Amino acid sequence: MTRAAGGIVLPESVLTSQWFILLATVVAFNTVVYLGLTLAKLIPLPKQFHPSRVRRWLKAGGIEIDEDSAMDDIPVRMLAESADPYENLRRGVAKRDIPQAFALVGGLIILLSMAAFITQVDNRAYGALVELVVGLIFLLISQILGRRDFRARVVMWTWALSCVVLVAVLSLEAVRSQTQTPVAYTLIVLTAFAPVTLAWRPSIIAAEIMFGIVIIASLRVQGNEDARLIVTAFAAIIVSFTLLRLRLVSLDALSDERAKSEALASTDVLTGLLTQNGLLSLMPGIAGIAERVNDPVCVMYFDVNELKRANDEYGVKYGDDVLRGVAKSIQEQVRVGDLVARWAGDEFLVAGLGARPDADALAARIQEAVRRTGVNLGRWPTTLKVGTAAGDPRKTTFEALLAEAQAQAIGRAGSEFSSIEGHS
Amino acid sequence: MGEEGDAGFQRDPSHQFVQVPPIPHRAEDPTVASGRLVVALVVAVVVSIAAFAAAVGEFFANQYELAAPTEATLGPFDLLVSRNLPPTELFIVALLALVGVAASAIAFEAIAAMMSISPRRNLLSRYRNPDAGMPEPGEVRITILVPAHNEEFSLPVTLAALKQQTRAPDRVIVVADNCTDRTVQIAEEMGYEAIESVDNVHKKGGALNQALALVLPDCDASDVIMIMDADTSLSPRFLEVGGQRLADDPELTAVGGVFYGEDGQGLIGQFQRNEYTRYSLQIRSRHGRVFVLTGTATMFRADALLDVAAARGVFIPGDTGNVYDTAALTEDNELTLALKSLGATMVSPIECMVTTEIMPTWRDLWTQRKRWQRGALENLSAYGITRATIRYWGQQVGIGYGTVALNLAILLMLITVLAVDQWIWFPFWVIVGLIFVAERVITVWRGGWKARLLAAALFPELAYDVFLQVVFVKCLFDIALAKRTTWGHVQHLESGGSP
Repeated sequence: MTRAAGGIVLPESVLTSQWFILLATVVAFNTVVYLGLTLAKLIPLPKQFHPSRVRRWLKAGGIEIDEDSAMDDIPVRMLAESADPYENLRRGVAKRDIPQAFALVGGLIILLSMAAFITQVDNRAYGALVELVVGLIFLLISQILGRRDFRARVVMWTWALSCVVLVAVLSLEAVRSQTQTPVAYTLIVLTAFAPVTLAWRPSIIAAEIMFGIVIIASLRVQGNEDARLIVTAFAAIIVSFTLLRLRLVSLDALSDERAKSEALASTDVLTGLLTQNGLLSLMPGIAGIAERVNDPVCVMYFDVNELKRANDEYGVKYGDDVLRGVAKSIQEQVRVGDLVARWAGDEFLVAGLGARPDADALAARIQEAVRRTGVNLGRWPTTLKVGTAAGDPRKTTFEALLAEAQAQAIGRAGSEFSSIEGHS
Repeated sequence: MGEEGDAGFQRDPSHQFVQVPPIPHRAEDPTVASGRLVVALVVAVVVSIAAFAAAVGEFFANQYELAAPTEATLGPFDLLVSRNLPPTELFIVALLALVGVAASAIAFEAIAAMMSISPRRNLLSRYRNPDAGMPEPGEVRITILVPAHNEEFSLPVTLAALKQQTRAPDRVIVVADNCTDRTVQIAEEMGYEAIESVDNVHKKGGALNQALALVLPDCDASDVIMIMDADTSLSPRFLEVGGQRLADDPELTAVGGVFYGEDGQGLIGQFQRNEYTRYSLQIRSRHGRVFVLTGTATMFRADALLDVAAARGVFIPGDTGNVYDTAALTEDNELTLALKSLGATMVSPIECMVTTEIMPTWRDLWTQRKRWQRGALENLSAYGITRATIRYWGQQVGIGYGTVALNLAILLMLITVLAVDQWIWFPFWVIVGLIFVAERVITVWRGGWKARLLAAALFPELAYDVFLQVVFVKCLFDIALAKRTTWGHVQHLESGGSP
C-alpha cells in the first residue's frame, strides 16, 4: 500500500478540484463530530434520577405541577373546542403545515446557497453566507413552531412576517450585488407563501407588501437573464405543488383523525364514564373472568325519563348537569369493579359479574342518590327506567342480555325478547 | 378435562360473548404523511450540517497549503510522509467544535432524560382508583408469559432453564398462538399453565393481548408480568435482580433484559454479537437507561400494563383495551414508547442478561433489521415529537447523519485511492484513524478475542455498518413511497365470518 499505483482511473487533478476539497472538508467535519461523540461517551453519565426526587426539586423550585393537564406533551390535537368547526380546522392546518413550509423553504435556501458556493459563478460568497444563515433560521423556526403548541394566529403571523423579512433581505441583496439571482429566490418564498396562507387576512397584506418589494428591487437591478432563474422558478413551482399537497394531506389527516378519535374514544367527555365503545372493548375481559369463576355476567340498563323536556325547558346545560348527576349516582350505587358506561344520549349501562339484581330496588336506590346530589334543585324530578339481565357468557351473548334489559326497562318484557336467551 | 385449573380457559371457539366494534386500522390512516415528515426532517438536518461544514471549509480553504512531503524509511518500506498539519486556526476551531459536539451530545442526553421523567407518573392509576396512592415498597409476585408459536423444540429448554433461576417465578403461563405442534401438551406435561389464542391474526402482540386480558383483571399492585420469548435463555439472577429492583422502588415500572447474541453462525454471527456487545456497553455506561425494553425478556408492573391498555386510543395510539398495539411492526419498541409517554421509568440492570437468537443468513438479517427499523420509524411517526420520544428522534436523525457521514468518508477514500499517483502518509490522519480503530476494539473488548480481532480489522465492520445503513435508507424510501408490502399479516378477520 505504500506506493499504490494511482492516477490511472481518475486524473490526479481531481484531488485539487474544488468539489473534492469540499467533500474532504465535509468528511473532516464529520470526523470532528465523530470524535466529539466518542469523547462524550468517555464522560460518565450520572445515575438515573428518581422521579420522586425530580418532584421534590420542582416543588423546591416553586414550579407547580398541574396534574390535570398532565398529558399536554402528547399530541392530542383538536381537543380545544371552538364554535366554528371550519375555523378550528383551518387553525389546525396552519399549525400543522406552516412549520413544514418553514422547513422546506429553509432547506431549499440552504441548498441554493450551497450551489452558489460550489459553482462560484458570481462572486457572492458573502451573499451566499447570508442566505445560509437565513435558511438555518427558517429551519430553527420550523422546529420551534412544530414542537411547541403555539396559537394558530401566532404561527400564521410568524410565517407572514418571516416571508416579508426574507423577501426584503433577498431584494436588498439583489440591489447591493446587482444580480438577479436573489430576486429569483423570492419566487420560492412567494410560491411557498401562497398555498399555505391564502385563506387568511394577514397573508393578503403580507403578499401585497412582498410583491411591492420585489417590483421595486427588480426595477433597481439591471442584469442579464440567467439560467438559474429558470431553475429557481421550477423549484418554486415544485415547492408550491408540494405544499398544496401537504395541505390536502393535512386536511384529510385532520378529518380522519377526528373520525377515528370519535370512534375510538373510550371515555365519555360529559360524564367521565366509559363510552359504548369503551365498554364493549372491555367486555371480553369481563366475560373471561366470568367463565373462569363460573359466574354469570349481569347487565343493568338505565334510561333517564323525559330528558328532552328538561333540555327544552331549562336549557341544555341543565340537561347536562342532570346527566352528570345520574352518572355519579349510578357509579356510587353499583359495586366496585362494575363497568359503568354512558350507552347513548340518555341511556346508561352497567356490566359486571354476578346474578341479576332487582331492577325496582336498584331504581329506587339510584333515584334517591340523584335526589341527594341536588342536581335537579327540585325543578324537575329525575326518574329512571331500569332493566336488568344476567346470563352465562358461554351460552348467551351481550346483545341478547342488553335487549332483555332494555325490554324490561321499557316495561314490555314480551316473549320476543325473553326467548333470545339460548341463541348463539 | 377436569373441573379445576386450566379447564376454565377452554371454551367453544365458535361462540363469542361480545363482538368488539371494529376500529380503524392504522395502515389505512394517514400516518404515512408523518412518515414523510421523518424523511424531511432527516434530510433537513443532514443538509444543514453539511452546509455548515461547507461554510467552515470555505472560510479556511485558502489558508490550506500543502507542503512537499518528505521521504522516510520504515524497515523495508519506503514511505512518503507529509508532516502537514491542518492550519492552527482550523485545528483550534476543530478542537472547539469537538468539545462543543461532546457537550451538546451530553446536554441533549441530559435534557431528554429530564424530560422523559414525568413527575406526573401516577395520573392514570389515580383515574382508575381515586384512593390508591403511591404503592408501598414490598414483595412482588412474578407471572411469566411465554408467547409461543410452534415452539415444541425450544420450549422445553426454556421452561427447564427457568428452574435454574435463583428466584423462582410465581406463575408461568405459556401463550400458544396458532400452534399446530405439541406446544400446549409440552407446557402442560411440564406442569405449567397454557392459554391458547382464539382467532388471532395479529401474531405475538395479538396473542399476548388475549392472554393479558385474562391475566390482568386479577392483578393488584404487587403483581409483575414478565414477557419472554420461547427461544430466550435468561441469566440465572434475572428474576432475583429484576424482582428486587421492582420491590425496592415502587415507581419503577419495568425491568428489561440486556441482550447478548448466542454463539455460533460464524462471521455474520460475530458481527451481530459485536453490535449487541456495543449496545450493552452503552446501556452499562448509561446506568441501565435503555432505549427499548427488549421483547425477548422484560418485566412490567401489571398496573402499568393496565394503564397502557386504558390510555390507548385516548392518549397514545392503538385500540383501547389492548396492551399491545397490533398495528405496530415491532411491539416491544411500541410498548416502550407507550410506557414512556405515560411517564414510566424503566431500567435494564446489567445482571439481567438474556441471550437472544442470531440471524444465520444475510437474508434473515435483512428481514429482521428492516422490520426493526421500519417499526421504529413508524412508531415514532405515530407518536410524533413529544417529550418522551425526543430522544428516539435524536437517535434516528443520528442514524441518518451517520449514514451520510460514513458513506461520504468511504467515497473520499475511494476517490483518493483511484486518483492518487503516489500514496502519501499523513501522520496526523493516521492518528485520527487509530483513535477510530481503538474505539471500535475497546467497545467490544468484553466479546472476547474473536470480537476484538474483527473490530481491529475495521473494514469488515464498516461494511456491516453500510449494510445496516442500506436497510435504514430502504426503510426511509419505503415509508416515503408509502409501500406497505412488509405488513406480513392479514388485515382483518372479515373473511372468517361468512353469513
